[in-house]
Amino acid sequence: MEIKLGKYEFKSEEQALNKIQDLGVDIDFEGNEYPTHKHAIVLLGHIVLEQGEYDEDLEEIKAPVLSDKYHVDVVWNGLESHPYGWKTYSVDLESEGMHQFAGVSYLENKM
Amino acid sequence: MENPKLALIPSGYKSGTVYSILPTDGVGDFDFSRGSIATRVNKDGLIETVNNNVPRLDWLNSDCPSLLLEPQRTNIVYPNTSISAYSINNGFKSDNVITSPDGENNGSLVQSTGGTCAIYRSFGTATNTTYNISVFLKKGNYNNIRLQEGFTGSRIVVDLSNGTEVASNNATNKKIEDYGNGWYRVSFNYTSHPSTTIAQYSVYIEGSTASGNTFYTFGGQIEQGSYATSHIKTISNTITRQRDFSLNGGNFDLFNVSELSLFADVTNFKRDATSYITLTNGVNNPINMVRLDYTQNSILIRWYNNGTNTFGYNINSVITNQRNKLLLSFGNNQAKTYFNGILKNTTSISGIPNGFDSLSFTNRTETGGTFQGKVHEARFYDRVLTEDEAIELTTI
Repeated sequence: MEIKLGKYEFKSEEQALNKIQDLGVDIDFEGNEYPTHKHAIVLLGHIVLEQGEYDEDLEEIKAPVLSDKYHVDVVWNGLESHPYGWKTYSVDLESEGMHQFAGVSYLENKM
Repeated sequence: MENPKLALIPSGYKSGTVYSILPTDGVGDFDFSRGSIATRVNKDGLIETVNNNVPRLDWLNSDCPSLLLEPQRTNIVYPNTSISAYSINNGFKSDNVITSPDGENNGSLVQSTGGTCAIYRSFGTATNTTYNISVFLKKGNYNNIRLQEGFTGSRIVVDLSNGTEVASNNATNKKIEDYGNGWYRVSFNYTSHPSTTIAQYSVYIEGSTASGNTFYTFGGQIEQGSYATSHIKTISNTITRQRDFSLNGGNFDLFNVSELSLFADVTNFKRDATSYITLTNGVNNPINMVRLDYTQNSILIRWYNNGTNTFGYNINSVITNQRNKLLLSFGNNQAKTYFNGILKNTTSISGIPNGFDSLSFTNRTETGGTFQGKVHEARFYDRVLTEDEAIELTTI
Protein backbone atom coordinates (compact mmCIF):
# COMPACT_ATOMS: atom_id res chain seq x y z
CA MET A 1 0.00 0.00 0.00
CA GLU A 2 1.29 3.45 -0.96
CA ILE A 3 2.21 5.63 2.00
CA LYS A 4 2.47 9.39 2.47
CA LEU A 5 3.76 11.24 5.50
CA GLY A 6 2.29 14.36 7.01
CA LYS A 7 3.34 16.66 9.83
CA TYR A 8 0.73 18.81 11.55
CA GLU A 9 0.57 21.59 14.12
CA PHE A 10 -2.77 21.88 15.86
CA LYS A 11 -3.88 24.62 18.22
CA SER A 12 -4.43 22.21 21.08
CA GLU A 13 -4.44 18.56 22.09
CA GLU A 14 -8.23 18.59 22.07
CA GLN A 15 -8.32 19.78 18.48
CA ALA A 16 -5.81 17.12 17.43
CA LEU A 17 -7.75 14.35 19.14
CA ASN A 18 -10.98 15.51 17.50
CA LYS A 19 -9.33 15.41 14.08
CA ILE A 20 -8.06 11.89 14.77
CA GLN A 21 -11.48 10.80 15.98
CA ASP A 22 -12.93 12.07 12.70
CA LEU A 23 -10.69 9.64 10.80
CA GLY A 24 -12.88 6.82 12.06
CA VAL A 25 -13.27 4.86 15.23
CA ASP A 26 -15.72 2.18 16.17
CA ILE A 27 -16.65 0.41 19.36
CA ASP A 28 -16.74 -3.34 19.39
CA PHE A 29 -19.40 -5.47 21.03
CA GLU A 30 -17.47 -5.39 24.33
CA GLY A 31 -17.10 -1.61 24.42
CA ASN A 32 -13.48 -1.42 23.24
CA GLU A 33 -12.81 1.55 20.98
CA TYR A 34 -10.64 0.86 17.95
CA PRO A 35 -9.67 2.85 14.85
CA THR A 36 -11.30 1.82 11.61
CA HIS A 37 -8.45 3.26 9.54
CA LYS A 38 -4.94 1.89 9.03
CA HIS A 39 -2.97 5.12 9.34
CA ALA A 40 -0.13 5.33 11.88
CA ILE A 41 -0.48 8.38 14.12
CA VAL A 42 2.01 9.74 16.63
CA LEU A 43 1.03 12.41 19.13
CA LEU A 44 4.18 14.44 19.70
CA GLY A 45 2.45 17.10 21.77
CA HIS A 46 4.19 20.34 22.72
CA ILE A 47 7.67 19.55 21.52
CA VAL A 48 10.87 20.89 23.13
CA LEU A 49 12.31 23.64 20.91
CA GLU A 50 15.23 24.54 23.18
CA GLN A 51 16.72 22.42 25.94
CA GLY A 52 16.53 23.67 29.51
CA GLU A 53 19.54 24.20 31.73
CA TYR A 54 19.97 22.73 35.23
CA ASP A 55 22.46 22.97 38.05
CA GLU A 56 24.20 19.99 39.62
CA ASP A 57 21.18 19.30 41.82
CA LEU A 58 19.10 19.38 38.63
CA GLU A 59 17.36 22.55 39.74
CA GLU A 60 16.19 24.52 36.75
CA ILE A 61 18.39 27.45 35.71
CA LYS A 62 16.70 28.06 32.39
CA ALA A 63 13.39 26.51 31.44
CA PRO A 64 13.18 24.58 28.19
CA VAL A 65 11.26 26.28 25.43
CA LEU A 66 8.20 24.34 24.32
CA SER A 67 6.18 24.79 21.17
CA ASP A 68 2.77 26.35 21.81
CA LYS A 69 1.35 24.11 19.09
CA TYR A 70 0.31 20.47 19.48
CA HIS A 71 2.31 18.39 17.02
CA VAL A 72 1.14 15.23 15.27
CA ASP A 73 2.91 13.08 12.66
CA VAL A 74 1.01 10.63 10.47
CA VAL A 75 1.78 7.86 8.01
CA TRP A 76 -1.17 7.91 5.65
CA ASN A 77 -1.82 4.52 4.12
CA GLY A 78 -3.44 4.68 0.69
CA LEU A 79 -4.18 8.42 0.69
CA GLU A 80 -2.92 10.84 -1.94
CA SER A 81 -3.98 14.04 -0.18
CA HIS A 82 -4.69 15.30 3.32
CA PRO A 83 -8.00 14.14 4.76
CA TYR A 84 -10.72 16.77 5.06
CA GLY A 85 -9.84 19.33 7.72
CA TRP A 86 -6.16 18.41 8.05
CA LYS A 87 -4.46 20.42 5.29
CA THR A 88 -4.89 23.73 7.15
CA TYR A 89 -2.72 22.38 9.96
CA SER A 90 -0.06 20.69 7.86
CA VAL A 91 3.51 21.97 7.85
CA ASP A 92 6.04 21.58 5.06
CA LEU A 93 9.54 21.01 6.43
CA GLU A 94 12.84 21.09 4.58
CA SER A 95 14.24 18.48 6.94
CA GLU A 96 13.04 15.28 8.59
CA GLY A 97 11.95 17.32 11.62
CA MET A 98 12.23 16.31 15.26
CA HIS A 99 10.39 13.02 14.78
CA GLN A 100 10.69 10.24 12.23
CA PHE A 101 9.06 6.90 11.55
CA ALA A 102 11.84 4.33 11.75
CA GLY A 103 13.40 3.85 8.34
CA VAL A 104 10.81 5.97 6.52
CA SER A 105 11.93 9.34 5.14
CA TYR A 106 9.51 12.25 5.50
CA LEU A 107 11.25 14.17 2.73
CA GLU A 108 10.91 11.28 0.30
CA ASN A 109 7.32 10.50 1.17
CA LYS A 110 5.74 13.75 2.28
CA MET A 111 2.17 14.48 1.34
CA MET B 1 1.19 -37.66 18.41
CA GLU B 2 -0.53 -37.15 15.08
CA ASN B 3 0.58 -34.05 13.18
CA PRO B 4 -1.46 -30.86 13.47
CA LYS B 5 -3.15 -29.41 10.39
CA LEU B 6 -1.38 -26.12 11.02
CA ALA B 7 1.83 -25.62 12.95
CA LEU B 8 3.57 -22.29 13.37
CA ILE B 9 7.01 -22.73 14.90
CA PRO B 10 8.73 -19.43 14.08
CA SER B 11 11.81 -20.30 12.05
CA GLY B 12 11.30 -19.30 8.43
CA TYR B 13 10.20 -15.98 7.02
CA LYS B 14 10.53 -13.50 4.22
CA SER B 15 9.36 -9.92 3.88
CA GLY B 16 5.60 -10.02 4.33
CA THR B 17 5.35 -13.68 5.37
CA VAL B 18 5.88 -15.88 8.40
CA TYR B 19 6.15 -19.49 7.24
CA SER B 20 4.33 -22.27 9.03
CA ILE B 21 5.92 -25.69 9.32
CA LEU B 22 2.60 -27.33 8.46
CA PRO B 23 0.89 -27.59 6.09
CA THR B 24 3.74 -27.79 3.62
CA ASP B 25 1.78 -26.25 0.75
CA GLY B 26 1.96 -22.76 2.26
CA VAL B 27 -1.72 -22.49 3.14
CA GLY B 28 -0.82 -22.08 6.80
CA ASP B 29 1.62 -19.23 6.25
CA PHE B 30 0.84 -15.92 7.92
CA ASP B 31 0.75 -12.52 6.25
CA PHE B 32 2.98 -10.03 7.99
CA SER B 33 3.35 -6.26 7.85
CA ARG B 34 5.06 -3.45 9.74
CA GLY B 35 5.42 0.01 8.25
CA SER B 36 8.85 0.71 9.69
CA ILE B 37 12.20 -0.82 10.43
CA ALA B 38 12.62 -2.40 13.86
CA THR B 39 15.18 -4.23 15.95
CA ARG B 40 15.50 -7.74 17.30
CA VAL B 41 18.10 -9.77 19.15
CA ASN B 42 19.69 -12.11 16.61
CA LYS B 43 21.11 -15.60 17.09
CA ASP B 44 24.46 -14.14 18.13
CA GLY B 45 22.77 -12.20 20.92
CA LEU B 46 23.25 -8.84 19.21
CA ILE B 47 20.62 -6.19 18.57
CA GLU B 48 20.02 -6.05 14.83
CA THR B 49 17.88 -3.82 12.61
CA VAL B 50 15.43 -5.47 10.21
CA ASN B 51 13.58 -3.81 7.34
CA ASN B 52 9.96 -2.81 6.97
CA ASN B 53 7.59 -5.80 6.75
CA VAL B 54 10.25 -8.28 7.85
CA PRO B 55 9.07 -10.49 10.73
CA ARG B 56 11.30 -10.43 13.77
CA LEU B 57 12.52 -13.77 15.04
CA ASP B 58 13.90 -12.81 18.41
CA TRP B 59 16.56 -14.81 20.30
CA LEU B 60 16.80 -12.76 23.50
CA ASN B 61 17.81 -15.12 26.31
CA SER B 62 16.65 -18.18 24.36
CA ASP B 63 18.09 -21.00 22.28
CA CYS B 64 14.99 -20.99 20.08
CA PRO B 65 13.60 -17.93 18.32
CA SER B 66 10.13 -16.57 18.88
CA LEU B 67 8.02 -14.29 16.71
CA LEU B 68 8.15 -10.85 18.32
CA LEU B 69 4.93 -8.87 17.97
CA GLU B 70 4.92 -5.37 19.43
CA PRO B 71 2.65 -2.33 19.34
CA GLN B 72 3.59 1.03 17.88
CA ARG B 73 5.96 2.89 20.18
CA THR B 74 7.88 6.18 19.97
CA ASN B 75 11.26 6.64 21.64
CA ILE B 76 11.52 10.28 22.67
CA VAL B 77 15.14 9.99 23.84
CA TYR B 78 17.58 11.08 21.15
CA PRO B 79 20.26 10.50 20.21
CA ASN B 80 20.62 7.16 21.96
CA THR B 81 23.78 5.94 20.28
CA SER B 82 25.71 8.96 21.53
CA ILE B 83 25.62 11.16 24.64
CA SER B 84 27.62 14.04 23.20
CA ALA B 85 24.55 16.30 23.20
CA TYR B 86 23.63 15.44 26.80
CA SER B 87 24.38 17.72 29.73
CA ILE B 88 26.75 16.38 32.35
CA ASN B 89 27.43 17.43 35.92
CA ASN B 90 30.78 16.74 37.60
CA GLY B 91 32.18 14.48 34.97
CA PHE B 92 33.15 13.98 31.37
CA LYS B 93 31.72 11.76 28.66
CA SER B 94 33.13 10.00 25.63
CA ASP B 95 31.30 8.33 22.76
CA ASN B 96 32.34 5.26 20.78
CA VAL B 97 34.56 3.73 23.43
CA ILE B 98 33.11 0.24 23.84
CA THR B 99 31.15 -2.40 21.92
CA SER B 100 27.47 -1.91 22.67
CA PRO B 101 24.68 -4.55 22.62
CA ASP B 102 24.26 -3.98 18.86
CA GLY B 103 27.84 -5.12 18.24
CA GLU B 104 29.05 -1.70 17.11
CA ASN B 105 31.67 0.43 18.82
CA ASN B 106 29.08 3.00 19.88
CA GLY B 107 28.84 2.59 23.65
CA SER B 108 29.59 5.70 25.70
CA LEU B 109 31.67 6.23 28.82
CA VAL B 110 30.80 8.49 31.75
CA GLN B 111 33.49 9.32 34.30
CA SER B 112 33.07 11.40 37.44
CA THR B 113 35.40 14.26 38.31
CA GLY B 114 34.24 14.63 41.91
CA GLY B 115 30.77 15.48 43.20
CA THR B 116 27.42 14.05 42.11
CA CYS B 117 27.98 12.89 38.54
CA ALA B 118 25.02 12.63 36.15
CA ILE B 119 24.16 12.90 32.49
CA TYR B 120 20.75 14.23 31.54
CA ARG B 121 18.61 15.59 28.73
CA SER B 122 15.01 16.80 28.49
CA PHE B 123 12.24 15.77 26.14
CA GLY B 124 8.60 16.72 25.70
CA THR B 125 5.97 14.33 27.09
CA ALA B 126 2.31 14.14 27.95
CA THR B 127 1.26 14.79 31.54
CA ASN B 128 0.02 12.18 34.01
CA THR B 129 0.64 9.32 31.61
CA THR B 130 2.31 5.93 32.00
CA TYR B 131 5.78 5.83 30.45
CA ASN B 132 8.55 3.28 30.45
CA ILE B 133 12.16 4.46 30.74
CA SER B 134 15.07 2.17 29.89
CA VAL B 135 18.78 2.16 29.20
CA PHE B 136 21.59 -0.31 28.58
CA LEU B 137 24.28 -0.07 31.25
CA LYS B 138 27.62 -1.77 31.76
CA LYS B 139 29.90 -1.60 34.77
CA GLY B 140 33.05 0.47 34.52
CA ASN B 141 34.97 0.62 37.78
CA TYR B 142 31.93 1.46 39.91
CA ASN B 143 28.91 -0.72 40.59
CA ASN B 144 25.88 1.33 41.57
CA ILE B 145 24.16 3.39 38.87
CA ARG B 146 20.84 5.19 39.00
CA LEU B 147 18.38 5.57 36.11
CA GLN B 148 15.97 8.41 36.80
CA GLU B 149 13.19 10.53 35.36
CA GLY B 150 14.02 13.84 36.96
CA PHE B 151 10.72 15.69 37.13
CA THR B 152 8.93 12.90 39.03
CA GLY B 153 11.96 11.58 40.92
CA SER B 154 11.11 8.10 39.63
CA ARG B 155 14.22 5.98 39.77
CA ILE B 156 15.95 2.67 40.18
CA VAL B 157 19.46 2.02 41.43
CA VAL B 158 21.14 -1.11 40.12
CA ASP B 159 24.31 -2.97 41.01
CA LEU B 160 25.99 -3.62 37.67
CA SER B 161 28.37 -6.18 39.13
CA ASN B 162 25.52 -8.69 39.34
CA GLY B 163 22.45 -7.09 37.72
CA THR B 164 20.39 -6.62 40.87
CA GLU B 165 18.23 -3.83 42.20
CA VAL B 166 19.63 -1.79 45.07
CA ALA B 167 16.78 0.68 45.58
CA SER B 168 13.93 2.36 43.75
CA ASN B 169 11.29 5.05 44.09
CA ASN B 170 8.04 5.68 42.14
CA ALA B 171 9.03 2.84 39.83
CA THR B 172 6.87 -0.13 38.79
CA ASN B 173 7.36 -3.05 36.42
CA LYS B 174 11.08 -2.88 37.15
CA LYS B 175 13.30 -5.08 34.99
CA ILE B 176 17.01 -5.76 34.76
CA GLU B 177 17.70 -7.94 31.72
CA ASP B 178 21.04 -9.51 30.92
CA TYR B 179 22.12 -8.75 27.33
CA GLY B 180 25.53 -10.42 27.64
CA ASN B 181 29.08 -9.04 27.71
CA GLY B 182 28.31 -7.25 30.98
CA TRP B 183 25.45 -5.19 29.54
CA TYR B 184 22.12 -4.96 31.36
CA ARG B 185 18.97 -3.34 30.11
CA VAL B 186 17.38 -1.53 33.05
CA SER B 187 13.78 -0.35 32.80
CA PHE B 188 10.77 0.70 34.84
CA ASN B 189 7.39 2.37 34.49
CA TYR B 190 6.55 5.76 35.91
CA THR B 191 3.66 8.17 35.71
CA SER B 192 4.66 11.46 34.14
CA HIS B 193 4.39 14.75 36.02
CA PRO B 194 0.81 16.02 36.46
CA SER B 195 1.56 19.48 35.05
CA THR B 196 5.06 19.57 33.54
CA THR B 197 5.14 18.46 29.91
CA ILE B 198 8.82 17.52 30.03
CA ALA B 199 10.65 14.36 30.96
CA GLN B 200 14.21 14.47 32.16
CA TYR B 201 16.12 11.35 31.21
CA SER B 202 19.08 11.05 33.57
CA VAL B 203 21.67 8.52 34.65
CA TYR B 204 23.70 8.99 37.84
CA ILE B 205 26.65 7.50 39.61
CA GLU B 206 24.94 6.59 42.87
CA GLY B 207 26.34 6.83 46.38
CA SER B 208 29.79 8.22 45.69
CA THR B 209 31.19 11.67 44.99
CA ALA B 210 34.69 10.41 44.38
CA SER B 211 36.55 11.32 41.23
CA GLY B 212 37.30 8.64 38.65
CA ASN B 213 34.16 6.47 38.95
CA THR B 214 33.02 5.15 35.57
CA PHE B 215 30.18 3.34 33.78
CA TYR B 216 29.17 2.65 30.18
CA THR B 217 25.82 3.48 28.63
CA PHE B 218 23.89 2.96 25.41
CA GLY B 219 20.38 3.08 24.00
CA GLY B 220 18.33 5.31 26.30
CA GLN B 221 14.63 5.04 25.68
CA ILE B 222 11.44 6.63 27.02
CA GLU B 223 8.23 5.35 25.48
CA GLN B 224 4.59 5.83 26.34
CA GLY B 225 3.33 2.46 27.56
CA SER B 226 3.53 0.02 30.42
CA TYR B 227 6.56 -2.04 29.41
CA ALA B 228 9.85 -1.66 27.59
CA THR B 229 9.71 -2.73 23.98
CA SER B 230 12.64 -3.56 21.74
CA HIS B 231 15.44 -1.04 21.30
CA ILE B 232 14.42 1.88 19.08
CA LYS B 233 17.55 3.45 17.66
CA THR B 234 17.52 7.26 17.50
CA ILE B 235 20.07 9.65 16.06
CA SER B 236 18.83 13.15 15.30
CA ASN B 237 15.16 13.00 16.29
CA THR B 238 12.53 10.94 18.09
CA ILE B 239 11.66 7.72 16.28
CA THR B 240 8.49 5.68 15.98
CA ARG B 241 8.48 1.94 15.36
CA GLN B 242 5.13 0.88 13.92
CA ARG B 243 3.14 -2.13 15.09
CA ASP B 244 3.62 -5.71 13.92
CA PHE B 245 0.68 -7.26 12.11
CA SER B 246 0.59 -11.07 11.67
CA LEU B 247 -2.59 -12.56 10.35
CA ASN B 248 -4.40 -14.80 7.91
CA GLY B 249 -2.84 -18.20 8.58
CA GLY B 250 -4.87 -21.05 7.05
CA ASN B 251 -8.03 -21.00 4.95
CA PHE B 252 -11.65 -22.19 5.05
CA ASP B 253 -10.83 -25.76 4.03
CA LEU B 254 -8.13 -26.09 6.69
CA PHE B 255 -10.49 -24.98 9.46
CA ASN B 256 -13.56 -26.83 8.13
CA VAL B 257 -13.43 -29.69 10.66
CA SER B 258 -15.78 -31.74 12.83
CA GLU B 259 -13.69 -31.38 15.99
CA LEU B 260 -10.62 -29.36 16.83
CA SER B 261 -7.83 -28.43 19.19
CA LEU B 262 -6.16 -25.02 19.22
CA PHE B 263 -2.78 -24.57 20.93
CA ALA B 264 -0.98 -21.32 21.74
CA ASP B 265 2.47 -21.16 23.33
CA VAL B 266 3.26 -17.50 23.95
CA THR B 267 4.80 -14.94 26.25
CA ASN B 268 2.18 -12.23 26.52
CA PHE B 269 3.39 -8.75 27.40
CA LYS B 270 1.78 -6.44 29.92
CA ARG B 271 -0.54 -5.01 27.30
CA ASP B 272 -1.62 -1.38 26.86
CA ALA B 273 -4.50 -2.17 24.52
CA THR B 274 -6.45 -5.25 23.47
CA SER B 275 -4.21 -8.18 22.56
CA TYR B 276 -5.87 -11.05 20.74
CA ILE B 277 -5.27 -14.38 19.04
CA THR B 278 -8.34 -15.22 16.98
CA LEU B 279 -9.80 -17.91 14.79
CA THR B 280 -12.09 -15.84 12.59
CA ASN B 281 -13.92 -15.41 9.32
CA GLY B 282 -12.99 -11.72 9.31
CA VAL B 283 -16.61 -10.59 9.30
CA ASN B 284 -17.79 -7.86 11.66
CA ASN B 285 -21.38 -9.02 11.99
CA PRO B 286 -22.58 -11.59 12.94
CA ILE B 287 -19.71 -12.48 15.23
CA ASN B 288 -18.03 -15.80 14.46
CA MET B 289 -14.81 -16.42 16.27
CA VAL B 290 -12.78 -18.28 18.84
CA ARG B 291 -10.74 -15.63 20.57
CA LEU B 292 -8.02 -15.63 23.21
CA ASP B 293 -8.00 -12.22 24.87
CA TYR B 294 -4.75 -11.67 26.77
CA THR B 295 -5.48 -9.06 29.44
CA GLN B 296 -3.18 -7.74 32.17
CA ASN B 297 -3.61 -10.81 34.36
CA SER B 298 -5.96 -13.23 32.64
CA ILE B 299 -6.83 -14.91 29.38
CA LEU B 300 -10.47 -14.56 28.36
CA ILE B 301 -11.58 -17.34 26.03
CA ARG B 302 -14.65 -16.66 23.93
CA TRP B 303 -16.41 -18.64 21.21
CA TYR B 304 -19.12 -16.80 19.29
CA ASN B 305 -21.31 -18.68 16.83
CA ASN B 306 -23.45 -16.56 14.52
CA GLY B 307 -23.57 -13.74 17.03
CA THR B 308 -24.21 -15.93 20.07
CA ASN B 309 -21.68 -16.31 22.86
CA THR B 310 -21.54 -20.11 22.87
CA PHE B 311 -18.62 -20.67 25.21
CA GLY B 312 -16.65 -18.56 27.63
CA TYR B 313 -14.00 -19.29 30.19
CA ASN B 314 -11.46 -17.08 31.97
CA ILE B 315 -8.03 -18.23 33.02
CA ASN B 316 -7.07 -15.99 35.92
CA SER B 317 -3.79 -15.21 37.67
CA VAL B 318 -1.87 -15.22 34.40
CA ILE B 319 1.53 -13.60 34.85
CA THR B 320 2.54 -11.28 32.04
CA ASN B 321 6.00 -11.54 30.50
CA GLN B 322 6.08 -15.23 31.35
CA ARG B 323 5.74 -18.03 28.85
CA ASN B 324 2.42 -19.88 29.00
CA LYS B 325 0.82 -22.72 27.06
CA LEU B 326 -2.90 -22.93 26.39
CA LEU B 327 -4.87 -25.62 24.59
CA LEU B 328 -8.58 -25.55 23.74
CA SER B 329 -10.38 -28.58 22.40
CA PHE B 330 -13.91 -28.78 21.05
CA GLY B 331 -15.55 -32.14 20.30
CA ASN B 332 -17.52 -35.01 21.81
CA ASN B 333 -19.99 -32.35 23.07
CA GLN B 334 -17.32 -30.89 25.31
CA ALA B 335 -15.04 -27.87 25.38
CA LYS B 336 -11.85 -28.44 27.36
CA THR B 337 -9.32 -25.85 28.44
CA TYR B 338 -5.78 -26.80 29.42
CA PHE B 339 -3.30 -24.28 30.77
CA ASN B 340 0.32 -24.95 31.68
CA GLY B 341 -0.18 -28.68 32.04
CA ILE B 342 -3.48 -28.58 33.94
CA LEU B 343 -7.01 -29.31 32.74
CA LYS B 344 -8.68 -26.13 33.96
CA ASN B 345 -12.21 -26.54 32.66
CA THR B 346 -14.64 -28.90 30.96
CA THR B 347 -17.90 -27.48 29.65
CA SER B 348 -20.74 -29.23 27.81
CA ILE B 349 -21.38 -27.76 24.38
CA SER B 350 -23.41 -28.57 21.32
CA GLY B 351 -21.60 -28.30 18.02
CA ILE B 352 -18.12 -26.93 17.52
CA PRO B 353 -16.67 -23.65 16.27
CA ASN B 354 -16.66 -23.61 12.49
CA GLY B 355 -16.78 -21.43 9.40
CA PHE B 356 -13.42 -19.77 9.93
CA ASP B 357 -10.85 -18.98 7.29
CA SER B 358 -7.90 -17.64 9.25
CA LEU B 359 -5.91 -17.75 12.44
CA SER B 360 -4.74 -14.23 13.23
CA PHE B 361 -2.82 -12.39 15.92
CA THR B 362 -5.43 -9.64 15.76
CA ASN B 363 -9.08 -8.93 16.48
CA ARG B 364 -11.75 -10.82 14.55
CA THR B 365 -11.95 -8.23 11.75
CA GLU B 366 -8.16 -8.35 11.44
CA THR B 367 -7.93 -4.56 11.69
CA GLY B 368 -6.53 -4.06 15.18
CA GLY B 369 -6.23 -5.70 18.58
CA THR B 370 -2.79 -6.92 17.56
CA PHE B 371 -1.26 -9.49 19.89
CA GLN B 372 1.53 -8.08 22.05
CA GLY B 373 4.09 -10.66 22.98
CA LYS B 374 6.28 -13.45 21.73
CA VAL B 375 4.82 -16.37 19.83
CA HIS B 376 6.79 -19.53 20.49
CA GLU B 377 4.37 -21.87 18.75
CA ALA B 378 0.77 -22.19 17.53
CA ARG B 379 -1.01 -25.33 16.36
CA PHE B 380 -4.41 -26.32 15.01
CA TYR B 381 -5.57 -29.96 15.05
CA ASP B 382 -8.63 -31.44 13.37
CA ARG B 383 -9.25 -33.68 16.36
CA VAL B 384 -9.60 -33.54 20.12
CA LEU B 385 -6.28 -34.26 21.75
CA THR B 386 -6.39 -36.82 24.52
CA GLU B 387 -5.94 -35.57 28.05
CA ASP B 388 -2.45 -37.09 28.20
CA GLU B 389 -1.48 -35.43 24.90
CA ALA B 390 -2.92 -32.09 25.96
CA ILE B 391 -1.16 -32.12 29.32
CA GLU B 392 2.14 -33.12 27.73
CA LEU B 393 1.85 -30.38 25.12
CA THR B 394 0.93 -27.64 27.59
CA THR B 395 3.39 -28.51 30.33
CA ILE B 396 5.96 -25.76 30.73
